[in-house]
Formats: sequence, structure tokens, C-alpha cells
Amino acid sequence: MSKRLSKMGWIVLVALLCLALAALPACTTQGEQEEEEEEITIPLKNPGDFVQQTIGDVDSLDPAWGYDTASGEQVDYIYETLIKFDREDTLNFVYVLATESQIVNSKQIKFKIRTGVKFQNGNDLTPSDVEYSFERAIVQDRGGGPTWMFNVPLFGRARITSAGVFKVTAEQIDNAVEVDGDWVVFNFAIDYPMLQWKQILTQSWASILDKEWCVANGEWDGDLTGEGWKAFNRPAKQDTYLYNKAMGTGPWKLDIWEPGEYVRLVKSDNYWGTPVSFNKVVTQFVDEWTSRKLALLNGDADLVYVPRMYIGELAGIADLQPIKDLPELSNDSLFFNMDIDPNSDLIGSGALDGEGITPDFFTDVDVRKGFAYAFDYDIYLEDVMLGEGTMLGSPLVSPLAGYDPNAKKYTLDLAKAEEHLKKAWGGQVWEKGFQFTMVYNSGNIPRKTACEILAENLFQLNEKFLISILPMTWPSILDNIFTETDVSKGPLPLFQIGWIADYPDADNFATPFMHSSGDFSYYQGYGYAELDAKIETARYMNSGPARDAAYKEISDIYYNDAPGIMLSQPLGRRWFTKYIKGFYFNPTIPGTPGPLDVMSKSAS
Amino acid sequence: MELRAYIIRRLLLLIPVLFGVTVFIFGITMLFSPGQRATLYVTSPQQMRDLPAVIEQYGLDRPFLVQYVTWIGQVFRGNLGWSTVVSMPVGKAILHYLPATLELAMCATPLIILIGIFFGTRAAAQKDKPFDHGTRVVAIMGWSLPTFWLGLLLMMIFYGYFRGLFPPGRLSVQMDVVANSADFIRYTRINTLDAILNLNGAVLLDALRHLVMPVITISTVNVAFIMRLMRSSMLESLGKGYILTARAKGLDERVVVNKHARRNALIPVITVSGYLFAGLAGGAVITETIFSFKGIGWWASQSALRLDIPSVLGFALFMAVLFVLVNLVVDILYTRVDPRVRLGGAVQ
Repeated sequence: MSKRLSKMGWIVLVALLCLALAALPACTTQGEQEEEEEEITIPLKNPGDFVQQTIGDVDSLDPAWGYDTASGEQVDYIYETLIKFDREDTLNFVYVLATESQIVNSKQIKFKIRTGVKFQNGNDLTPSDVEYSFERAIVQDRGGGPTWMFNVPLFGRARITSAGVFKVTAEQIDNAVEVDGDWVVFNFAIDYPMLQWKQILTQSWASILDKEWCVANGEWDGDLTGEGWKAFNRPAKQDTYLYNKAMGTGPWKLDIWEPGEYVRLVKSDNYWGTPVSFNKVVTQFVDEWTSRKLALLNGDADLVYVPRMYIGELAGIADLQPIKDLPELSNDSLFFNMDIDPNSDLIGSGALDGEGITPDFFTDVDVRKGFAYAFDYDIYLEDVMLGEGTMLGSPLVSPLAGYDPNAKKYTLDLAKAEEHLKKAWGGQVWEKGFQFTMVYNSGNIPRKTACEILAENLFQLNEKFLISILPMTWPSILDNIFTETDVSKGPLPLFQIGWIADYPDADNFATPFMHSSGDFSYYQGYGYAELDAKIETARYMNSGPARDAAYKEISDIYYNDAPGIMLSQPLGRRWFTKYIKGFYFNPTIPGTPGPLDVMSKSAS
Repeated sequence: MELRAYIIRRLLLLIPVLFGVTVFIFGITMLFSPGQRATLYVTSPQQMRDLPAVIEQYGLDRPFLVQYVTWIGQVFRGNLGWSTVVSMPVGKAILHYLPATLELAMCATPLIILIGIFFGTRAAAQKDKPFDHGTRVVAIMGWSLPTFWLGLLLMMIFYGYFRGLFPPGRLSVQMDVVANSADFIRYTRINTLDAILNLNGAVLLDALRHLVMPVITISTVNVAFIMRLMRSSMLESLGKGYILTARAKGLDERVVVNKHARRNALIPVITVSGYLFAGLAGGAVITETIFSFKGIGWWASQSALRLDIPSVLGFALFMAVLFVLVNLVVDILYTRVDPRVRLGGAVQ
């Protein structure tokens, strides 16, 4: 017996010793860790190439489709636009594929197209390519896409189709963008601010395509006679040839896109502009933070996505180049879907019986306000954002018109949350409870935490309030937000997404969040005529106190209606290795790497 | 019975087994609504937009048997539905992600089996001696280590502490360019195999470097099981009468252990190894995720998270077929290890 005990003791001793050795690294103090990390030397790897590791895959490489930053940044590197912002300046522009512009009147502007520009396949750029690019985007007009920004000035309405029927004629589309010799003319249906139009033209959705190449590959042929063109409206994402193929005039061309794995761009031999430094631009999709962090520290990546809560792990590393406090024109928010797809797998039983929610659950303003009061904004701002952000009362962000730091905001108030939830749906919500599932894009820890904060607080209020949390890939999230059936919107009951300004104006926040045709509000089933009129009036007002007051009124409506939970306006950060040079910040440039065309990598 | 006849008999037996498996898998799909089941028949994004037409075309409101025949007909034509997660047909997605997982399984399985057999044999031969105790401790630790913890620990050591010695992913940026160039023929999409077939040492070395951490992670967890199994099987063999006879005849102890005892002890190990390989070929979800080694396990887990029914069912069917085939291979291997199996269909 004693021999047996002795053996067991020996086994236990060895096991404990091994575990202790394994746990030893965790026993060092924070100070020791930081001291160690400061000595880290990051080697220069992949010279001449730019490698980033991030979490969100590309949704589509079609410029007329992609409306997310992950897609926009790739499109930006492959394609070019007529004009672009003059570096950080969002009010002044430099010419790219245009060489000159003329504002004819408040409804017409024209651009002279640059000659001698070649596409990556060697084809010449012509004014008809420009006309085709815009008309193709308008004809395609995918739901939830960026084309509404063309539609508003060109046709006076954000949505040009309804229930599959075009509300504009072929002639209107044809006349909206026309070729006039070396010029391309944009004819507006309404008086529209030209500064705003120019800002819109700087972005990825205004990229210029090679018409010949597109048509040869089965895309719309540019013919607006007959009815055939209507077949190209609202295709499924993968239906467009440009979904995973690309051919622009930009400095890099698409080499390979392995969905979920990586995108690789290589330098174009036909690039007409100032030669760029990077031979290859590689974007790898890596969900695991430790892997991304070590890739950065080993020099295998020049930039990685760093969830804000992990920034302490990179503090004090001399070979890193953290760029912080970038004044982003963006916000993060949670959106209530008031018209959920009844077939959604995420609403439990689909009834208010304690095991699900009804598709119209969030139409009751007391439900929405109850949720808004149940969110802990202070914890989110301090623990998730580490204080690097500002709380918002509405989608309107600083320093745009209508932003008011003292505007009414929701704060954590469980008593008020209870009060509203007891009133909701005639008391049934409180009595029976509910169950549904929230999703977040996998790898995005801050969004996951926001889901957890809300779910936990609601559960504390009433143990019958059950919210499950589910990760999804980024393209899947987008597919599930920007979708609708004949009778409802998408299947996500409550979705979370960020918004970065397309153009730096309050309208670019009021319209998507609150107009009945807005990119988010439409897919929430939110918006009404009275509010639409206020947004449209404010849109065309000249800058000044009156416009500011109009947007403040819109901001108050958001607070009262509570169609979503505004989380924050964040301050931006970038984590480059010290070898990356030339970064500048423009809040409208999509993605994190920034202006790679003027950036470089060197040891010096 | 001749070996060939035995294999033919086993192949014929596959038909009712696969029939049962497909009935079971299809039966599960009947729990979903017709609209959700319609996605099983979709082969393009266009069809996804018109599910009512698909429901009508395939009679998804008709009796179970009729629907089963229609579905199995589609499966035989290679149509497993549309994977919304990766935007491609399910069959194509399986073929796309399988090579990475196969590469992992093909590297890890032999390692696990050889190490497991070697240490299991030694432990049994030295029962209750320090070596036996040592392997027991290692086995317990290996078996109880959470995969994600071990994976992260290895990454911090081999990618962090040793500054990129063994990186995650499948290939480095530069080698990926080479492996996807026109000069490099992708015969199998298994990087190491393709590198050998293309006689490209640089890609081979790079691919092997990327395999080290995931292979160690998978092996550490699984080798413990094989080792313990081999030990107990060996102990049983060593207690048999013919071993006593062999020893009484004065045979060398190494011959007794390695030739007489080990051969008989291998039968349960072969069974488990077959299933181990099938399990690994079906994807090591956590390992593939941690090391960005995106194979079929990663795809299946993403599909499950997305509630992508065609992908999940396609994966289930793939796994079922894989296990059935592996079972066949295991049965054939039995005949090599124990000739009695092929003679009467059962060990006497």
C-alpha cells in the first residue's frame, strides 16, 4: 500500500511540476512583461510588400456593390475615380482620371477625362467608360448599396426601384450621365450641393470600369433601349462578374482572392500615375488576436487590427508606430429591426410566448427604450473603448452640423428600463419574457462585448429575458442586414454595425440612419414621411445656424424614437511597424491601411 | 476466403450502410421548413432568389420517400446545394477546403500512430517501472490539455519567443506567390505534396514550417490516447500463453515483444487509428482556427455558426462517407495483421 501511495505521489509531483513550469510565464508581473516587450525588435520582412492582418473579409469587389470598408479599401487600390481628396483635406480635391471640371449651373457639372490612361489589361480609358461606370451602378442599384448617393442628385430620389419596378425611365438614366467629346456631363434632377457631389465622386463606388472588358465578360452592355437592361437590376451578389474579378486603372491589380483567407494585389505594369512603392498588397483574414499580434511583432504583418481592449499588450514597443486619437467621422450602433423576417432562425418561436419574439417585436417604442436604458454606456466607453470615444445621443457626429455634446442621451437606468419594458406590448413582455439571438462579426471583440453588456443587463432585470449571442462572418452579417423579402426585412432582430462617413456632411448620417429609404433605416423598417421631409429640407440648406438647428431637431427625434442604441463616436488608432512611412489620415478613406499609393516601407 | 473476395463483400456491404446514413441525414432535413430545405437544391445565386420555384421544381411539399429519391438523385449528380458562407456550391467547397485538412491529417496521423505504438509498447514491456509511470503522466497531461490552450502556448513559444520559427497559416506571403504562379502546378492543392511533385524545395520547406505547430497540437492530444490503448493491448497480449511459450523457448525478449506480442496488440490500435484519421480529415476545428490553417473544419464551423444548412448537411454526408470508407480500409488492414479475419469473417 505504501509503495502504491509512493507511486501516486510521484506521479502527482511530476504532473504538478510540469503544470507549474507551463504556468510560469503567466506569473510574471505586468511590469516585467512590459519591460520585456520594450526590448522586442521587429525585423523588416517582405521588403517592398505591404501585409496587413485583419478580421473582416471582402464582401464584393464590385465597386457598385461594395459598401463596407473591407471591400472599399481593396476597390480603392485597384480602381480610380475622377477626383480624390487632397490628402487630409475633405473640402479640396485633386484630379485623378479627370483633368478639369466645370460647374455649368446648380444642376450640371462636367469633367474632362484624362487621356493616355490605360486599364490594367492595356485598354485605353475613354469618356464612355466613365459614362458606363455610373450608368451600370444605377442600373444595378443593389439594395443597401451606395448607389443612393447617385440617385438623389440625378433623379431626386434615393430609391429608383420599388417592388422590382423602375421608378425612373431608361431615358432619365441615359440623360443623367452623358458624354460630350472629351467631357462627361452629370445632369441633376434637383439643385444639389456641388461640394457634396464632388465628395461623393472621390469614393470607391465612383470607380471607373473598363466597359469593353465588362461587356466581354457578360456584364450589362450599356444598352438602355428595350427591356433587357432591367435584367441587370438588383442581381445576387455573386451574379455580377465583378464580384470577384477586377480591372481598373489603379496602381495595383487583383492577383488572387481566396474568400475567408486573403486578398493579394500586385503592382500593375500599366499604371499611368506616379509609381507606387509596394509591389504587393496582401490582406490576410485572421480571427485569432494572438496570431495577429505575433505576426506584427515578427514583422510578418505591417499592420494588424487591434481590438481596443488589447492595446495594452502593444504598449511600449519601440519598433511599433501607434498612431492614435484620429478624429474619425464614424459611429457604432445597435439597430432594432422592426420588420424581422418571420422565417428567421434567430427569433425563437416567433411568438411572444417566452420562447421567442414576434417579427414586429421592436415596433413598440417601449421595448426599444427599455433596451436603450438597459445598456451600460459608461462601462462600454471605459472598458471597451478605453475612453477613446464620445457618447452620442443620435447618429450625428462631431464636428458636423447638428452635433451637440449636450444633446439628450440614454444612460444606464435599470429602473426606467423596467418601467418601459413593463409597459411594452401591454405587459406581455415582462410577464412572459422573450428569447432571441444577436449576432456580431467574428473576431470583433468590442461588438461581442456590447452584445454581452446588453444581454446581461436585460437578464438582470428579468430572468425571462434571454438573448443568445452568435458570431458570424462579416460578409454573412452584411448579407443578413441588407436583405428583404416581399413581406419583411432581414432575419437579424438586432444588428450592430459601424458607419464611416461617405462624405463629411450631417446628411450622410441623418439619411442612412433615419430616412425611410436610408441604408440602415430602410432595413430596420424605420422612417416616416414627416421625418423624411425634415431630413430632405436640412440636406439642401446652406451651412449656418438654421441648418444646425434643423439637424438638432432631427437628433432629438432620434432620441425620442430610439430606433437604435448609439454606442459611441470612436477615436481611431493604427498600429504600423516603424518601417511604414507616409501615412496620413482622411476620415473618409475606407479601411485602416490608408493611402498606400503614397506610403512606403523601409528600414531607414 | 480470398482477400479480393473479402474486399468485394465489404464493398457490397457499403451500399446498405450508405443507404442508412443518407436516410438518416435526409430525415434530419425534414425538421426544417420547405424554404430552408430548398437551399439544398440550389446551385447558383440566381436560384437562391427564387426559392418558391425550387420548392415546386423539387416537390418539397411531397411525401418523404419521393423527396428522398429526388434528393439522392441530386447527390449522385454531385449537387449538394449552395454554401452561402463561402459563396460556392457545397461540393466545390468541400474540394476547396479538404486539401488543407488532409495535409494536416496526413502529417499528424502517422506521427501519432508511430509515437503511440512505440511508447505504448515500451510502457507495457516495462510495466510499473519509471518509464511506464513517465509515459502515464505524459499521456494524462496530453489528453487533458485543452487544444486551444496548447495551440496558443505553442504559438507564443515557436512564433513569439523564437521569433517566427514556425509561423501559422499555410504558406508565407512570398511562397504563396510561388505556389500560385503559372509555373507551379497545383495537382492536389496539398502544399507539401504539390511542392514535391513540382520539385520545389523552398515551397516544401515553407509548407513544412507552417505545419509544425498544428501538427504538434493535434499530435499531443491524440498520441496520449493511442499510447494508453497500445499499452493495455500489449499487456493483454503479453499475458497470453503463446508469449509464455515463446519465452520458455528462450526467444530474445525483443523478438517476443516486437514480433509476437505487438502484432496481436495492434488490432484495436488499427481500429482507433482509422477513426482518428477520419476524425482529423473531417477537420480539427480549433486547431485550424487558431493557426489560420483554413481547412474543412474551419469551413464547417463557419457554416454551423451561419446556420448554413446545405453546408452542414453536405459536411455530415462527407463525414459519413469518409468514416464508412475508413472502416473498410481498417477491415482490410485487419486481414494483413490477422489472417484469420479473412478466412471466416471472424476471429476464431
